[in-house]
Amino acid sequence: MTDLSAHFIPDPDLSAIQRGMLPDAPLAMPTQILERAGPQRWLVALTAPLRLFHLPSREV
Amino acid sequence: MTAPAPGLRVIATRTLLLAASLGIGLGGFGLFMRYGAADGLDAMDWVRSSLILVSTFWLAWGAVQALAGLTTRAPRVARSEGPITARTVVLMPVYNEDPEITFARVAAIDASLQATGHGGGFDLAILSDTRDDRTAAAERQWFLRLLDETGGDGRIFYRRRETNRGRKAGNIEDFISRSGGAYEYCVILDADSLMEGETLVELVRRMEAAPEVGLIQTLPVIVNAQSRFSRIQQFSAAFYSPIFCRGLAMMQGRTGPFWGHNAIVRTRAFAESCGLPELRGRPPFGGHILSHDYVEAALLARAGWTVRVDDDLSGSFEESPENMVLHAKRDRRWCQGNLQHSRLLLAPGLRPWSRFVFLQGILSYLSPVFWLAFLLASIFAPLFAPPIDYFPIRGWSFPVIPVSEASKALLLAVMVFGLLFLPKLLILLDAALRGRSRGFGGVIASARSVLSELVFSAIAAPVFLMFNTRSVFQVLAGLDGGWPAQSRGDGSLTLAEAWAAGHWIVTTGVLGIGLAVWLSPALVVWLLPVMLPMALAPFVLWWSSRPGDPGHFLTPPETAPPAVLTLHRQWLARWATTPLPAVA
Repeated sequence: MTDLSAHFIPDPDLSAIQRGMLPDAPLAMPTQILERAGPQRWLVALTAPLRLFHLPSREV
Repeated sequence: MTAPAPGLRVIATRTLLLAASLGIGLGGFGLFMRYGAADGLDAMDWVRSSLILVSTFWLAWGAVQALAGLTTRAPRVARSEGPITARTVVLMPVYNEDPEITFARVAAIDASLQATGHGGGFDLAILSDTRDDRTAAAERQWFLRLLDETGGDGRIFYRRRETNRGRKAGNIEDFISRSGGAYEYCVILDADSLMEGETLVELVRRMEAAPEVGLIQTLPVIVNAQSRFSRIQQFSAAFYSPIFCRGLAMMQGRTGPFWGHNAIVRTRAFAESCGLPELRGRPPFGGHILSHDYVEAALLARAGWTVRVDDDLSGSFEESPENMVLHAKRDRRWCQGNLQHSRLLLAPGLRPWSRFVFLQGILSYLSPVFWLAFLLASIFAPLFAPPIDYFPIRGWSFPVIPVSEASKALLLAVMVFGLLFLPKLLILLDAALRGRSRGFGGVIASARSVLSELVFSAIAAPVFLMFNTRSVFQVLAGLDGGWPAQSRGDGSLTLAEAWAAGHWIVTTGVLGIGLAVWLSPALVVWLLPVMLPMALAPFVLWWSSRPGDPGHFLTPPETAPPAVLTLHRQWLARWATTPLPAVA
């Protein structure tokens, strides 16, 4: 087969991505629970008078 | 894993230092109440005394940690011997940084690792969250050059995330979830971090010898400071921080600190324990956790892992903002992050000391606000003072002149100054006696640096007080500061830039002096050391951003440059002679 590599300029971006590729070794990282069930309104209530730019919370 | 309780010695140390701080705070409260009672107690006396209680407690808390740190040395820790079989990756997250400078750091760390003979057990990974496409293109160019010139194929990696969801914490999480299974340990750096190869190897040996440890934090030393401000920060970090850190380490037990960089983690422990949620609601109190490092330390401890700071380790370096404005911008993020931790004070399962650390972080940003409130309350106090009753005793026709309790106020002022200055002077004495001052240019040079630092701190503190107060009120008002890219490099401010950054502080200072002259003339002399620097804030910002004298504020990395720092400079010099073409 004819070697055409001299006719094609290697893509440095692609080269960087390929040569820099990280090992494929997944490790699960489960999301931790940091908030108790139910909204904590005490802090919201305490700081409400100061919150001039407050927008309604997006309840998850 | 069941979390073991802290030892008796740790509990006793924590109790003693907290009790001492509280005692000093109550002493301040009592002194001010005596002072206020001279002309009859009023509501403002109670307010001011309460503010003094909190503020003095906070000052005392720092002072007692320093005093405690002077009393002990770091204990010997277990380390493994022989060949290192574990695989470790050194992670360098970058976000719109100059790739020539940051990748030269990677090259320096790689060379330092290879020199130890254990380089085969380490990989390095550049984790880019860069949003700017031109910078990202430059990163790819410099990465290829880095690989070609270090022969780093297969051990130096580069990945740019498509989104920077979760910011730095999300960047690390993305790496761990894709590639973490390949490594027993991860060393997490910042873009401006440098670490000696020997230090990296030692960290791995210590982790190998202690399977219960989830994270070891080193104490980074600031390097490459150019401006007056950053050189003072650099000196303070090198001279005082080891002692303060020793005091902190005495209390850490198994719930030590994580400062987000220059630390090694056990990958599996980190993965199992540190997946951070988004908090309910919107920023600044909801959303992604900004100051993730403290939370990750708390989560590791919750899961039963030991987190500790090994303050005996050298060879760990970082850089500092070059001017007060950049420092304040970074502090704005930290302020928001720490105040956000108020959402986590009642988080389920956290160790009590972890909760206290969150509270400590919150107080570190609220305490200056209490100081400012005390000053304002003092200026307005005469408006609330009741008229003096010269005939308080019924049936006694001779006037009773109130006895001045100004001596109590003076004693309180002496106590506050003592809390601020005494620990630093004792650290100076300790350095002179133990020979540590040699690395700082000798005893005379160290003393000169300490005294200069004390003077500058006294001048800069009111300016930072205002930046801090503004940050706190911005956060409480619901403004999200986000995570702006760090500005690095020269950092010199023009007078115009300094004025733009600080003119509002001038207004505060002038207003404060004016109010004091009008309402409380007797307080003007006391308030001038605070209000005058505020009134001169732009000049303070400008002057401190100018290049510093390299012969002043010497630190050990300057008197005896570490090898990895020299390597970094060599790589930069090498690349400067053969620059890459500019990215279109």
